[in-house]
Amino acid sequence: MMAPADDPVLTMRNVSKSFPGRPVLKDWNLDVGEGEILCILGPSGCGKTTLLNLIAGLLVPDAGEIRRPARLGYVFQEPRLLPWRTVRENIAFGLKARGVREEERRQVAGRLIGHMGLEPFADHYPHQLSGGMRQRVALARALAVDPELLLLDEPFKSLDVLLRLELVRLLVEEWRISPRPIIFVTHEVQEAALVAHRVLIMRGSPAQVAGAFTLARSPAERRPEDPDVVHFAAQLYQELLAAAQTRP
Amino acid sequence: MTSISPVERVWRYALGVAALLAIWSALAAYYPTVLVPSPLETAQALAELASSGELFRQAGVSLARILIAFGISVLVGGTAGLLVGFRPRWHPLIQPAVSLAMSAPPISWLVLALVWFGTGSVTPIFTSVVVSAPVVFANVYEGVRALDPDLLAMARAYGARGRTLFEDVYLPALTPHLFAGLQVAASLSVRVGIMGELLGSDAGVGYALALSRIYLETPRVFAWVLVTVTLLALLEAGLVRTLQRRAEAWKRAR
Repeated sequence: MMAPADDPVLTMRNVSKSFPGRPVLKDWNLDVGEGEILCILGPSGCGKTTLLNLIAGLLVPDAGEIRRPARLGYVFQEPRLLPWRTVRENIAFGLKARGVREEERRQVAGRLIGHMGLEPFADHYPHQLSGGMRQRVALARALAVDPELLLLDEPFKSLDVLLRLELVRLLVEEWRISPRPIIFVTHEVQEAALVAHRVLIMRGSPAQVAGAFTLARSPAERRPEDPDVVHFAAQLYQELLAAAQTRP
Repeated sequence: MTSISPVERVWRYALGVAALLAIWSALAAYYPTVLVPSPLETAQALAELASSGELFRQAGVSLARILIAFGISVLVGGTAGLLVGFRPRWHPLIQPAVSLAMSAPPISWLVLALVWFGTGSVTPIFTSVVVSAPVVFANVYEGVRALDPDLLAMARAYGARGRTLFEDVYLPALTPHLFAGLQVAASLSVRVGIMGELLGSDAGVGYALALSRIYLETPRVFAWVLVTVTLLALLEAGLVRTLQRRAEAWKRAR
C-alpha cells in the first residue's frame, strides 16, 4: 500500500512548469498509489503549491503528462469558503458543482457535519466561525465529493497545536474509514511522521526530490509518542535541515 | 464614529422634515402663491390631482417608462460589465463609448433623442438608458475585476461551471458592486426620465410638470415635484434597497 502500486491513482510524467524567470518543476515524475498518504515537506517557495495546483488542473504544465482521477478534494491553506453560504451549503458545494441532486447533497453534508462535530454550526455562515471551524468545513467540503484523491496544502498552518492535532486525528480517522490516497503538503515534521506512508523532501528551483522516506505501519495506529513515529520525525527533521543547508 | 439608536434616528429624521416644512412655510408666507405656494396649497393641489385621477394616470405612465429604462439599463449595463470584466482586452474598446455616454450632459442626449425619435415614450426611455446603463456597466465591471482569485480557483478545483458558478460564486460576490450601480442607476432613471418627459413627451409626470408651469399653476408644479420624489423613493427604497437587504441577509447573521 505504501509504495506506488501497479496501477497508480495519480501519475506525473516528465512534468515541467515555469513561471516567468523561474523554473519551478523540471521533468518531474510522481506516482501515488491506492490508499497511500504522501507527505511533501520542503521550505517555503520550493513549488509545493504549484505541484498541487498542477495536480488539481488549476495550472497547465508546460510539458509532460498528468493522469489524475476525476474526483478531487482540495483543502487550501486558507478555508476559501463561500462567505454567503451556510456551513451546510459550503460542504455541499462540490456536490452541487457535480450536479448532485439537493436531497442527496443534504444527506452527504449532514453526515459530514456529524463526523466533523459541526452540528451546532450547520446553518451558520463562515464569518460566525472560528478559524479552526472554518478549516474543518473546508475539509468536510473536500470529503463530501468522495474524492479519489485528496489534496491538502498546509491546511492547518494557521491553527494552534491542539487544533492541528485534533484535525490531523480527524483526517486519519476519515482515512481509516475510507482509505483514499492523500497528498499532504506540510512544513510540520511531526505531522508528516504521524500520517505519511511516504515523505518526499523537496528543495531547489527547479524543485528536486532531496529524499524519499517511508514508514509502513498504518497511520491509523500511530500515536505521536510511539517510538517509530518519534524516530521517523527525527529522521525527517535531520533530512530537512540537511536539504536546507546543501545548495543544489 | 458614534452611532445613534434607530428610535433617535427616526426622531431626528422627523425633525429634519419639520425644519424643511417650516422654512418652506416661511417662504410661502412671504412670497405670493404663484412663486412659492404653501405646503397646504400644495397638498390641496395634490388632492385635486388625486381625486381627478390625473395623478395616477401620469404617475403610472412615468413609472412604466422609468421601470423599462431601469430594466434595460441593468440588463445592458450588467451584461456588458460581465462580458468585458471577463475579457479585459475588450475594455479599451468599449470604454470610449462608456465615457462619452457618462460625460456628455444628459440634456444633450435628450436633444439628440428629440431629433431622432420626436416626442413620445422612446425619447425619455432612450435618454435614461444612455445615462444609466454606463453606471451599471462600470460597477459590474469593477466587481468582476475585484473577484477573489482564490475563491475562483476553489470553484474551478471542484469543477463548478455554468449555473452553479454564476449563482453560488459570481453573483453573490458581485452583489455589493451591482447594488452600488443600481442605486445610482435608479436615481438617474427617475431624474433623467422625468426631464425627458418635460421636454420630449405628451404624457407623464414631466409633461404634467411642464404644462402646470405654462399655466402658472405653481401649486401643481410643487405637487408634481413631490410625485417625482415619491417615484424615486419607490424605485430606490422600495425596489433596490429591498432587493439588497434580501441579497445581503447573510451578512447580518450573528
